[in-house]
Amino acid sequence: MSSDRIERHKLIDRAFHWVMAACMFALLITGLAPKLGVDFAWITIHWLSGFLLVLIVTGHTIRAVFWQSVKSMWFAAADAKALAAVLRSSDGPKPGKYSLAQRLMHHAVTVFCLAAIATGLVMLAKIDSPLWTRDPYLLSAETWGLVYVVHGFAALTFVSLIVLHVYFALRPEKLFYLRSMVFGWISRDELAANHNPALWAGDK
Amino acid sequence: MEFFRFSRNAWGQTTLEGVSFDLFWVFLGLALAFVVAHALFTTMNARGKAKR
Repeated sequence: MSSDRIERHKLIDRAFHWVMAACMFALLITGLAPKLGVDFAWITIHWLSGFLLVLIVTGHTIRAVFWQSVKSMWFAAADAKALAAVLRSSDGPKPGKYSLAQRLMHHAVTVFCLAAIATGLVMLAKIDSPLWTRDPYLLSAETWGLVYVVHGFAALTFVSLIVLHVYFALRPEKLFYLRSMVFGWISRDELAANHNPALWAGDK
Repeated sequence: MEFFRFSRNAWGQTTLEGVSFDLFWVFLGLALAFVVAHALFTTMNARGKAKR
């Protein structure tokens, strides 16, 4: 990497992001399209995509805890200042690796992804596969209803989150973040203009 | 518009089935409304700053 470029995302993290994106699109299309009247054989693609999502989220969590800085994604009391500045439409303090909006998006995705995964794993009991036999009586009808409510609500929330995520990724002033998620780097000028180098000056 | 889906079993009892998928259009619409509002706000804000 040339000296005027700062590494923002390693290849493994970019691969995780794009595989997760592919899984999310596969899950939303196969999960929601049949409910909206577009019927096709969706169950196998849906649960296999969900399985892949579980695997990569587990890998990402282990990597984030043991190899990356969990602190860079944390929401601390000092961030209240940044939030107040955003609400006043003025420039707040420059962030470390991730801006306040990026961290809030990550936390929202974490909460709804874990909810969808936990309920999705339980829902596997309703289908047959080479690895297990279906048992629709695992839970009572009322409990199954709650499981489906949480799973469906998480899926619908992801529709909103994905629209917002794509919008902000494509905004002209944020395009360098999209480039960094493809090629891994930002420039020193972009670092100086958008981040506090004392808090983050590139991944090591 | 309903928020939840219910079914009735053989004994006439109502059972919760999940969220109503009519809400898909609400979640999509709210996100798109935010996008339009944010784009308008930032454009007008940038013009206001440029004039000052």
